[in-house]
Amino acid sequence: MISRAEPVMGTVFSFLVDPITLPTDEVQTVIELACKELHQLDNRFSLWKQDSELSQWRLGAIEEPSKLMDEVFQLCAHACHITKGFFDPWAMPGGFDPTGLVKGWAAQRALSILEEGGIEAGLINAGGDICVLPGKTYQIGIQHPNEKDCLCAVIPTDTSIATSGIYERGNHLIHPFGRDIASVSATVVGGQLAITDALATALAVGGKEVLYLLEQLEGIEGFFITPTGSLFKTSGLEFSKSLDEIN
Amino acid sequence: MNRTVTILGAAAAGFVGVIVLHGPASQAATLSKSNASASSGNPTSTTLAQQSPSTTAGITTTTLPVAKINGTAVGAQENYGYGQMSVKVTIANSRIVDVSVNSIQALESYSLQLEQQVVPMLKSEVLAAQGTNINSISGATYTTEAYAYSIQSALNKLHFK
Repeated sequence: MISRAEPVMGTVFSFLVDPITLPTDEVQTVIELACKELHQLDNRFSLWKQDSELSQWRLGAIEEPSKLMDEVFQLCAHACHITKGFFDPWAMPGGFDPTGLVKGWAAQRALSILEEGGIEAGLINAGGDICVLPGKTYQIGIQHPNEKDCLCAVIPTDTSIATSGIYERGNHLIHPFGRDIASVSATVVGGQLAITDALATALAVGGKEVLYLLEQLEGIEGFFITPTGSLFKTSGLEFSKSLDEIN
Repeated sequence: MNRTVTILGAAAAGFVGVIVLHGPASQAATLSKSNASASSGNPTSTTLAQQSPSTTAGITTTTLPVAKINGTAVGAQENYGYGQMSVKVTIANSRIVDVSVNSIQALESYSLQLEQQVVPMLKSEVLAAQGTNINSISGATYTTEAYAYSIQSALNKLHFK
């Protein structure tokens, strides 16, 4: 396994690559390319950089969005639609804020670069949101919201998994309908990470209402934990049942 | 060598008190003792263990490199946007066995949060990345690149890759 931690987009992206047939130096070169892409996307979509396209867009200084920006708009609109407005980047205070979705989307683009570069197996962890190269299943530990150093679940995935919660950065989640946040932690697994990420945010905010929406989505599962410690999950979600299975 | 990973609640076997919901219209929840995967078509709920670990299991690490490295090193002081921090890394038999915050200078209350919540997660990520069969950790976004830098500089001091 080759691993690398890249600080970008205000968090750490970690790469875990199985160099099945590729020599190590080639793997490093491909990871380097993927990191370059992440930094370019960071420059375009950072809300902290005044000259980023997103910042300029929010200021009204840009009339025609770039192709990449347009892609983000489309993904946001789609995510907003399938979550019935529980994920709504247009409802954020301060203007259009697609940050949550962009991180997962950027990881997915970086993953495509790994794939095009000939890497056959591996994953990218974008500050807690993970996308996996198709073909191999990885065991993902889910951080426990109340207990340090502990996991609350282990979930196998060969696609993507995202967790959203208020325990890391305090309450940064906004309920688009002005109600209380339903959970302390929410995890969604399956599909493209850009959408998985948005769904996890929606599930964290909306709780049961969003869980029922996920129940109807093909290939998507999820669970959330309430402030009182109850765990609600979709019927199809499979936890790794024992450590024997993990090992 | 052995290392212990604690898994609380849902991960392990032994789901108790599973609540089955009967669609969005129904407010009443039925309590049934069953395996979490037993129901179909409806989301299920289970109570998460909050205090003492319900299951503890040792995960044995598998690979042991030939040349063994042992020691402890403190990484460089790194700015993390809210102050400065440095990280201490302990290696035994060529494996990282502990990562802790050696020093942290706080500019505001966020830093306390960093130490209490972000660092344990990064620690589990570092430990998980080197040999257990849990491949990665999913959690709410953490924001400290300083941690990664300081770990790297500590590892460099130990000539550990």
